[in-house]
Amino acid sequence: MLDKQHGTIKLLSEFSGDGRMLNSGYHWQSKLLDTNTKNRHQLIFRPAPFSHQPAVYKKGKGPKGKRRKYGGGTRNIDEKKYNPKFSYDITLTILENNKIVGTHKANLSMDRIDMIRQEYINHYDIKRYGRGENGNIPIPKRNEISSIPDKPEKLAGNPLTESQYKLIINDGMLDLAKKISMAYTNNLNKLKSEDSFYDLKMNKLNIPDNKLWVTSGWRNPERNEWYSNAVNGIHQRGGAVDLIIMAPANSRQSSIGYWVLWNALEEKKADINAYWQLESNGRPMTTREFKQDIEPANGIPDAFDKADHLHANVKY
Amino acid sequence: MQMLNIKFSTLLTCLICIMPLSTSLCLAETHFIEQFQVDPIIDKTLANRITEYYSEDIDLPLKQQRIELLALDNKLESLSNKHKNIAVFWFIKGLHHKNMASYYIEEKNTPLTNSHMKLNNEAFEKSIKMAPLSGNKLSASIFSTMKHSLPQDLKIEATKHEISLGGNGDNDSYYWYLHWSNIDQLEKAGRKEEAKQAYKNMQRELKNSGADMSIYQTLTSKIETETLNRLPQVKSQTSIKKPEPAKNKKEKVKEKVKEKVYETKYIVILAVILLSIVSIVAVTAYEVLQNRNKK
Repeated sequence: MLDKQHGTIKLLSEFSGDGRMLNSGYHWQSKLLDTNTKNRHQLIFRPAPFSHQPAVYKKGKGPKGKRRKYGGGTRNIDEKKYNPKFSYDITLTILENNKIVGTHKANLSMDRIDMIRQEYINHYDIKRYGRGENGNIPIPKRNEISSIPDKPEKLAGNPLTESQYKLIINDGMLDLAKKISMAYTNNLNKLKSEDSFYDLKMNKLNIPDNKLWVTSGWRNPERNEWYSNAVNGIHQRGGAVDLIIMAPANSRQSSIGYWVLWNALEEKKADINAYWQLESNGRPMTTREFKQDIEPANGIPDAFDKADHLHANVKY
Repeated sequence: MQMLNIKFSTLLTCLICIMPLSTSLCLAETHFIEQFQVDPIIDKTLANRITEYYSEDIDLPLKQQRIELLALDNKLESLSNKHKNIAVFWFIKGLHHKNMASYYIEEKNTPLTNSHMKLNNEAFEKSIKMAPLSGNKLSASIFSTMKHSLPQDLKIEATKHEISLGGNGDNDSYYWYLHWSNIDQLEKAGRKEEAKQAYKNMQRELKNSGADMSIYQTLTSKIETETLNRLPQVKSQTSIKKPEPAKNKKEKVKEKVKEKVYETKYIVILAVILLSIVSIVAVTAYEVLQNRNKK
């Protein structure tokens, strides 16, 4: 079957022939093969990748008030439209003196792993819009795509992937999430028992007992494109996790929570051995925002007041 | 002195001339648009540089930062009259004042920091108030950027705009946390009915979004128990009688002495009352006896 976005079939072997678009799909017949044809046991072809146009996507609310996010992408909701599941009906006809002496039929169909890999092929050489570099995400091998592991009990929130494939690439993000969660919980308990956590104006702070909430783990490239400006982001490699403090966004509770979390990670830097950053509005907080206290002036550094999540990823 | 002034003005002129060139080499044209998703209306190089000062670490000595920031200030000032009715212009102007405030913190100049934060908030307020007017399109990212330093009512307004535009987080969950933030702020501002309505809206939207409700169950129950029921809980806590502080020995002795004084007073009063009753009864009995003897 062929989809409009995928253009015409590209032949990689010496087979050639014009196809026809039928209601049942694209029909193509190879030339008659004879015993002299090399590699005739191989029928290799692939569709050309469809041209990728992130610029057509918009953020915010779209028609009928439905929300749209970052750069676009499909969130893989309409996978038939943007990443269709291909299948090929192959018929082999054996001729002898121009008479059919045998017919063999087979169906070659993509499974979910193939579909995921196809997404990576479609997005491989993606042109980044705006600043930054173009993306080059490695195409995962079949055995790197697995079923979804359980999330640590102490972590609330979304499963480790929001994709609709019910599969995952886990390249260290689960271990990382566990380590972060443990460091945060330990620091929370320690500060509570010591009762001596002070703000920049030396006022004692009450430590709110808020859990961490997983917002994002592995993202398939379409979903990543929907959420993030980072087209070659590590979420697609299964090495990154996003976490938020389970409290009203940008409230005092959440600010203190991020501060506790940040200190916990800094203390356990060597054990965790990963990169992390606090982000707001899709950008990392600056060094200045970790020192200053003007947005708002409440005794807590601006970076923690403005953060909307913590991004952490394994080192590559 | 005059020589120094000439040198300084030459340096300033050179920097002003070089700055747009250097920034255009360092930055793509879309820095502002990429982050805030609307056309800046003004010169994109200018908007990009202000965005960069806000969202990135500037690798320049403070002295050079000051010169550049003042040059940007002059440029923005010269555009004020032309763009005074455009919301996105006031957003950029506010952002620039925030950058100036941030610079003066590094200089440890508190009065100028405060005055630029005041100007920042005034500019953001103008931007928010102009947003509903036609031709003034602002993005969720802009509202999200503006809300942090604003007073409560304006922060609520900015958050509401952000929600109505679909939020700007890196993930779906952030959008629901933004709803929670809105409910929380309304509740804290004492706008309880609006808070309840905002929660109903969130629930309706959550239901229609197709999100896995089992994931968000913990979130909605936290909103109900910790945010919407916050005030009654506080009341019930305050209605509980506080335990009396422990009394020291002196106080205890004083209290005992007081009690004894009261006891003695009561005994004397009672004795007086009893004596007077007895004397009245005795006098009456004596008179009765005398009357009988006379008869």
